Amino acid sequence: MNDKTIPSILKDVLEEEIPSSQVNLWPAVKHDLVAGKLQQNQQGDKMNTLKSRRISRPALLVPLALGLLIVISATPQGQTFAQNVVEFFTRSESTTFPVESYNDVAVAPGEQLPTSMPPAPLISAAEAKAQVGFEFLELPYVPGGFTYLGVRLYGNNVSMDYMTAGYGHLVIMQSQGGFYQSEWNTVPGDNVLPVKIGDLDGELVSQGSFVQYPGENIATWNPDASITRLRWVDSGISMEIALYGDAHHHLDLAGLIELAENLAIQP
Amino acid sequence: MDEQIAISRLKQGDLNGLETLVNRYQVQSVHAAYLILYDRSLAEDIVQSAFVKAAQRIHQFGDGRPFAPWFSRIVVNDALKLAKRQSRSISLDEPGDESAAQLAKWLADPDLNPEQVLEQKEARQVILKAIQSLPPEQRAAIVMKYFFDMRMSEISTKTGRPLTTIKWWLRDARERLRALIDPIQGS
Repeated sequence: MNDKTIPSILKDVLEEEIPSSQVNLWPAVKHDLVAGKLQQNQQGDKMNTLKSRRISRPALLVPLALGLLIVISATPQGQTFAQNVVEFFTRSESTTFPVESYNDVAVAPGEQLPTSMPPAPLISAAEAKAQVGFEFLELPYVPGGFTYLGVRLYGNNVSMDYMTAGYGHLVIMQSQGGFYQSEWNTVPGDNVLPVKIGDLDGELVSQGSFVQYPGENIATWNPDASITRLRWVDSGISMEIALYGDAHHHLDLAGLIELAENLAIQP
Repeated sequence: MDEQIAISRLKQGDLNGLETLVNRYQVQSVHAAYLILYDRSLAEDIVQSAFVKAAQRIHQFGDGRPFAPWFSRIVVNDALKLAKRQSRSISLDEPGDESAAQLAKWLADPDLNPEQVLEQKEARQVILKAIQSLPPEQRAAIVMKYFFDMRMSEISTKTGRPLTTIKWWLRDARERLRALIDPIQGS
């Protein structure tokens, strides 16, 4: 017996166990999608924000979900709640915002220009686990094309860093205190794509970032900036994966979602 | 309908495109999920859910790429997650019936002549139980290799196990299957 005969043996065995003629998933799949589409029309959302339902459960779940939807949409608190749940990226109203020009920063003789905070030192996952106050998720493997660098702690926020040979980075950030929000991290709304990470809602910005060009006193949205960001919330923990530089050459968008789905608490 | 046409139609919201993909891949996928989960109902649930996920994420799927590898990863991933959860609560150490006990004995002593353990009429169940006795990740590795023809490196990435472990797992599984099947085929 060799590698070529095993598939046919397994196929025969499984064909006896579950005959092909008895497998017909299309009615159930179609039902799930149509049930989802009904909800989609009521929510005004896109197809990819829908939750699937098993054909055996919708009779109970659909009325409950619709009831909740009515309560959420009918009250101001509910509307605020819904907005907070769905939007992980703060939307910018414009593709520019004012900032201080480099040239406006006064520097006294002998002083240095102010710089951004240096990165925290790299430590092992075990060291990080001993220091942070929550169980953070890890990848069970190092993604192809990347080298694992280690974990950085910023207060109680965890950042796992991987690097490519071309100095691109894959950074996985986790926080109990919500997503880091600043004007620099906002995104023009039409650049945000709703996605699913397993059964969880998420948002993806496939490319782009606000940048400040030398001599300018505005930050401008650069849609070509090689930065990809994915955000979602898992068990109350705000999760973000960011790809910088050539990292997206090693991980397409489907691979990025799959990576997010594979994050788990490691022993 | 051609697969790429089916995908294009699905991207345009035409469910006929998805129906083509379901009809093409449902049997192989249910069989694969069953080999990981050993529960037909759960296997069908996983694959059903995977098709819904695929439809919801089809905009993330690049034009011109084959559907099968992408879809099979969703199926294996979901089935493996569920199997791992189940394996925490269900012990396989204490087989519940006589043939499983015989199999456990054989697994503990691979030198034992398989003909002493099984009768030909039980071959199908014994082969399935032999695979069922393996840990979920090893079962998933078998599925990825022999159902979806994935590369060893890809299986290594997917399971988070070193390449050497994957090679050993597959060789071990192959040897066990050979020990079970060869005498049956020869008789």
